[in-house]
Amino acid sequence: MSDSTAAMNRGGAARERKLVFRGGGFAIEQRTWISVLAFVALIALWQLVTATGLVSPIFLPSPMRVLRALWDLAVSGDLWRHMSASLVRIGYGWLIGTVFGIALGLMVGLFTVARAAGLPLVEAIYPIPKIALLPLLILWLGIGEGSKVATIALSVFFPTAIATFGGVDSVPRNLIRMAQSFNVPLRRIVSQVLIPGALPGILTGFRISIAAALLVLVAAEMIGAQYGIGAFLILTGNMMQTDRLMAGVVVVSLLGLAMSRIVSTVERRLLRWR
Amino acid sequence: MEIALSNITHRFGDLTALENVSLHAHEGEIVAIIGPSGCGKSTLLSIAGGILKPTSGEVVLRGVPAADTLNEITFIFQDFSLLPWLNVRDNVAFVLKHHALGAAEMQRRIADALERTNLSEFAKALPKQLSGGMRQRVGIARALAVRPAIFLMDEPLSALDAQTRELLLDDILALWQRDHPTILYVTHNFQEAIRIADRVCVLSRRPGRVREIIDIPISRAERGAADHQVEVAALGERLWSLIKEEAIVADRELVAHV
Repeated sequence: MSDSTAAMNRGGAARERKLVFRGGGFAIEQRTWISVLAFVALIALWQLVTATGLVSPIFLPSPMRVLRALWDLAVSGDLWRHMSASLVRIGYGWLIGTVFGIALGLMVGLFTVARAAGLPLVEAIYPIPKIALLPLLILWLGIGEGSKVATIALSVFFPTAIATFGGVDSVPRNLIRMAQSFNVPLRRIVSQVLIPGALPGILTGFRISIAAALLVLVAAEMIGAQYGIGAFLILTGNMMQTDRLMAGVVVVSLLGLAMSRIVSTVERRLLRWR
Repeated sequence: MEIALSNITHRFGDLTALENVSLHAHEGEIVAIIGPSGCGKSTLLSIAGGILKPTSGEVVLRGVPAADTLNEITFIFQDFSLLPWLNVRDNVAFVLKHHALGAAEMQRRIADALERTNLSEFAKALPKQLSGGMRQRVGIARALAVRPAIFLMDEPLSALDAQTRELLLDDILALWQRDHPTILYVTHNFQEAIRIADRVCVLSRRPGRVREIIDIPISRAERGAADHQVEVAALGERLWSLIKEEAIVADRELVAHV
């Protein structure tokens, strides 16, 4: 009797129940319409606030007025005048900073001496906000394009150098030893193994360097430029043309978005192997 | 060609990985190197292939490679070491391009290597699209393309599942059957060693020393036959007993210093 009681107490084979599901969650799905909705809702709220006259249009113009200002800017050619000045500066600055950044990054990644000498310097100078160097660069290079391009180049150089040597470091050493075991010459090891292997890191660096370049571009143009998005923002702000100012902000954000899209496309193309 | 390692000693800091290891593989011979993990067998092979400089000792090659040999001593790696951004064909081409070959000769070598490893139809595939076994075949094709006189195989099957291992072991044996290259074959799997080797060199660990060199007196073709099963099993027993104790120690060891 005591045996059967014990079996009953343990539940026995007779007690049958469905297994309760306990997984689920932690798998985020794509919901494009929610993203669109959030965007639309924000603009609708903005329109509502301005339409009710709750906020003066001098401080916050309606979305429609901002769009109108953007259209006028485009038609009058002002937009292009400012944009082209900015694009030339950021183009040269980014290119110069990137070329030298990748070169130094490769050196630091490859050679003991370059790393011992270069890395502490890079790490010491990297945290300086590069815009702080603009006054000095103006003294050295004058108020013209040179100082602005140089400031942008500097802001691009450091993140690029760091991303590049990080990328070189992340290339598996066994791939290099493999190449050496087939007597592949150094030049080809660098171009065919190290650079492709470092590319994911370098491209991640591009994202950072583009954001840094845009920031410094706008700031530098605010300090002393006749044309350029930054100059335009300061000008419209001083004249309290809030709709034109916000149109300028929209242009900057679209510019940033476009550049990050370009990097994404390049990544997709070049890193298909991952 | 033959390869002779004499009195190889290698230290990593305080750790003596290899001590006074001497080993010799004659022309066309397959010598397996086995031992528990951490005995330095891969280190020994890196030294044999000239990609790691030993603390002391030397490696001597003897003989003249065939006229079409581009890289007389060539590795097949445990992790395959394929360049992930190159497709199968380009991974093979990568080790040929720095040699002054005509375009036709280059094509011929690549096509031949891919054909011998049954990879012809996968020439355009990226490594990530291939199974482990296929990746190692690319590793073998790459080695075949430079027509080596000596193969250094560093646990070539360890990253593969049991079935794929069987298939590739047959492929490697077929590869040897054709040109009879000299092979140093590192493995931790004594059955693999018995299947493939003329001689098995058993290493001890910490420091890695040659514990014993065992000849396998049965011809490769007969090793699978029923009338040699007892002999093969006895060889397996003997190899296992040589490495078992150290394998237990290796298993119980902390893998990293904190």
